[in-house]
Amino acid sequence: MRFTRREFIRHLAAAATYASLPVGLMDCSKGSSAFPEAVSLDPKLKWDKAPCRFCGTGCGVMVGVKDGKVVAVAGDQLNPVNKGLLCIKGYSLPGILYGEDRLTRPLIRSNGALKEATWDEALNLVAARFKETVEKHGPEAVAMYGSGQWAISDGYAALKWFKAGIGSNNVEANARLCMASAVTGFITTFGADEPMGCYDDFEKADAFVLWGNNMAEMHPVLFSRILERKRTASWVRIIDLATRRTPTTEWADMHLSMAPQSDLALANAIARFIINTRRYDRDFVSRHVVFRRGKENIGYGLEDKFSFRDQPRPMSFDEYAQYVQRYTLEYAEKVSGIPAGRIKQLAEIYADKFTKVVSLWCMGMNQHNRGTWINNLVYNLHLLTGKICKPGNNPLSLTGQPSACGTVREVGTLAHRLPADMVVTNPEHRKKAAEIWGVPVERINPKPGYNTVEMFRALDRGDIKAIWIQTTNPMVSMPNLNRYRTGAEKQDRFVVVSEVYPTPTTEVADVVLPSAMWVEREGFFGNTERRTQHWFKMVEPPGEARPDVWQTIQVARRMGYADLFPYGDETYERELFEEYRRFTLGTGHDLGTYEQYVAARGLRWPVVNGRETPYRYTARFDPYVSEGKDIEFYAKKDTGGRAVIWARPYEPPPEVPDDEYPFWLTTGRVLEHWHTGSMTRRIPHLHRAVPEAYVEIHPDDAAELGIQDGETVRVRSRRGSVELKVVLNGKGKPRRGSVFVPFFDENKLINEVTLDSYCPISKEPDYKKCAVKIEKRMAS
Amino acid sequence: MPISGIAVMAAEGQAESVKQAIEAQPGMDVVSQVGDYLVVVLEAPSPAACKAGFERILALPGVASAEVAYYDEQDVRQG
Repeated sequence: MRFTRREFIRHLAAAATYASLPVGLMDCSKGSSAFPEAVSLDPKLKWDKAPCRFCGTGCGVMVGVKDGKVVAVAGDQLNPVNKGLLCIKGYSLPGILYGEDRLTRPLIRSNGALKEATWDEALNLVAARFKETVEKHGPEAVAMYGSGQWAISDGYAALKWFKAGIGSNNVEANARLCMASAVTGFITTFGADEPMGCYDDFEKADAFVLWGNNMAEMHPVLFSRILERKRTASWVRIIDLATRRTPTTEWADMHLSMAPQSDLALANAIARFIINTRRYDRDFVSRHVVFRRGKENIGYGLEDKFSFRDQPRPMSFDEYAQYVQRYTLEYAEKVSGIPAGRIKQLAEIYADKFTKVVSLWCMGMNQHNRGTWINNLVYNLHLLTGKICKPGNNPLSLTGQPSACGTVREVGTLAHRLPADMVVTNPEHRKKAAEIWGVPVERINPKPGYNTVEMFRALDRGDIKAIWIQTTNPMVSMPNLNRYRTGAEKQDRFVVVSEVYPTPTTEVADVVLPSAMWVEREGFFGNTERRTQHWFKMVEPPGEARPDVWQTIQVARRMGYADLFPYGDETYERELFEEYRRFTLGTGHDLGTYEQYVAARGLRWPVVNGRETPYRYTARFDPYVSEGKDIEFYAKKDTGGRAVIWARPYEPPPEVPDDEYPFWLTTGRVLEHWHTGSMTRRIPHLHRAVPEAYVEIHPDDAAELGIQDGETVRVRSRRGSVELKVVLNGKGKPRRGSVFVPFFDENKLINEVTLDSYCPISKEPDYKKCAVKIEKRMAS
Repeated sequence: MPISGIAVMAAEGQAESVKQAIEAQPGMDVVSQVGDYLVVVLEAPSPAACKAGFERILALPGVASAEVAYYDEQDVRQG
């Protein structure tokens, strides 16, 4: 059969367009239990699906098990998230299970040393100490600190034990350190947490604006989808708005090098440009938006027991337009260091009616002393232009951890929360929780507990005397670390740590409990795009390791809360999920049934009548939108279903470079290592790739300081210091006057240097800005 | 003569009317339909005309969204 060139191109166009249609829009009542055929010819190799253990992308993985061991992984071609692609960490997953020093037995500290114990001894001790602490000092004296790497059941069991049992709201998770500003940004703007869009937007947008987000390293599989979009659509642009050059920059069409904190001014300047050039969507604004102004000069959370309550007041559109007038392009240039003409180019992308825009961000905007504000301000741009709730036109807050959404945010393992966006301060919410849990409503404490930074401050002061830390490593990850490590080591503190490997956090523990991880237990994770995914247990955990959820249930029962945990030993995972699901039904957070998740490659909630929801708040896709409406932010009840455009100012950070400490310090991650490195540093090829932390310095700054590449220097702040090797021309290149240090290395604790300021609304610390100096090592 | 592949999403229940409206446009063919999604091939005499054709699709009643999934502007007159 012969084709003309014209016919050939027409066929290509049709095939490419067909392939671009969203594959995730599926009727899950049909199920999707088919696994792709394994490439391996080994008949003993059994494959099963699971979400990746690492980041918030939620890639689908096929796990190959032979002779009781995970021996292989492959990308799951049927999973619409990654369509068979994995990153280097994903391909390295088997290695995280088999490090030589894996914890396998409970340990109790005696005379300064951790000694092996039985489960009964350890669990009885934990229960007794927690019970004694509550009886002597009250429920506020105990705490649970968990993780965005908790499976859903881990978080739900911890939440129920504390909030329905003990009557304490001191349940927090490390997602407070990564996603809290995203949460408060969503809730203050839309009335509900989590994105309205989904990954399908990657194949639809014309422009991707990355706000301080090194996506090429931190979400590489999603970035590959952006690159593929760009490859097939030559007009697509990637804009990298960042405080340092990264691998992402090398793919960008436009790199805008901005001063730290100046994103607040930039976003306002873009809003002003949209309004002044009359490119706002009048119809959308008039029907779907209200304007509000909150308090300003709101502090930085540096004082113990810092407290803040916003006082929003209404504004008109004209008042808001007047408010942003001082954010001229020239003012934004002065604050950011980006030429006004380049800011205008960025503003044009948002303002142009025909350019579909996806804004993307992660820690650059969330780990920010005004994190809630900058989240609000980026939403403002999408709301002003109506570029929201439409395929290819959405803001998308990327998540760092595999279940910061699914567990922490959705289950509600935060000091003020209950499941499904409910809060402890609302009497109706407490009533609903009490009914589902079968407890008197008075059992649920209406007073929020300590947020994470305040929790560790309370531990330091002695207001918290017993804390259980699960699946996270705060003795590496807490900012201003020296204070919090000292606090945890004080006498009369009882610290329990559930972990898989020894870490600096297990070093301060009185009891260490060995945890089963990932496919060593059944579980659910929830990713960035609201996709909840299930996996079955595939291999036995090593030694006596047991899942965190099992440990929590055992302690809760020993404390006298057996009635709250009546589940079977083999069925608790399913029973907990089905109980938790009851919170979500009819709320717009609806989860599907257990069987649906077993069958599917995840489902995006709300899942109603077996159908997932790729796009929220839009009638075409979301069953919760009221009849007759095209778009409705139905969770924002106080505004009649309208989103809020917030007037938020530029305010400087609490600590800026000065003569004594002349550099900005930014911390972050690298592709090869996951967070504090407790898993990835035990995988030889990842460890060899990046064996230790380092400090990136601009070559011109190094030359002025007389520093050579590879030299060891001391990075010092007002709080602490750490020695690091210098990298002048590595993967990342900071601006002049800035340095960057990754935080994965427990032997180079950069968080001894960082500042524990936080966003007063979200309580999320700012790891991206403090002032340091660089000291050359003196010759001996 | 540029050739585009365009994925069009019709509002619920309007795929048929959208399909007819697109096929009435010069240079446009609906080559496939998947639920409310239509796969459209657009040929136009110039890039500007191609863009104008895309904007006409966006403006049609019943079109919830449209995006260009493929675009080629090499000379295809030689067969």
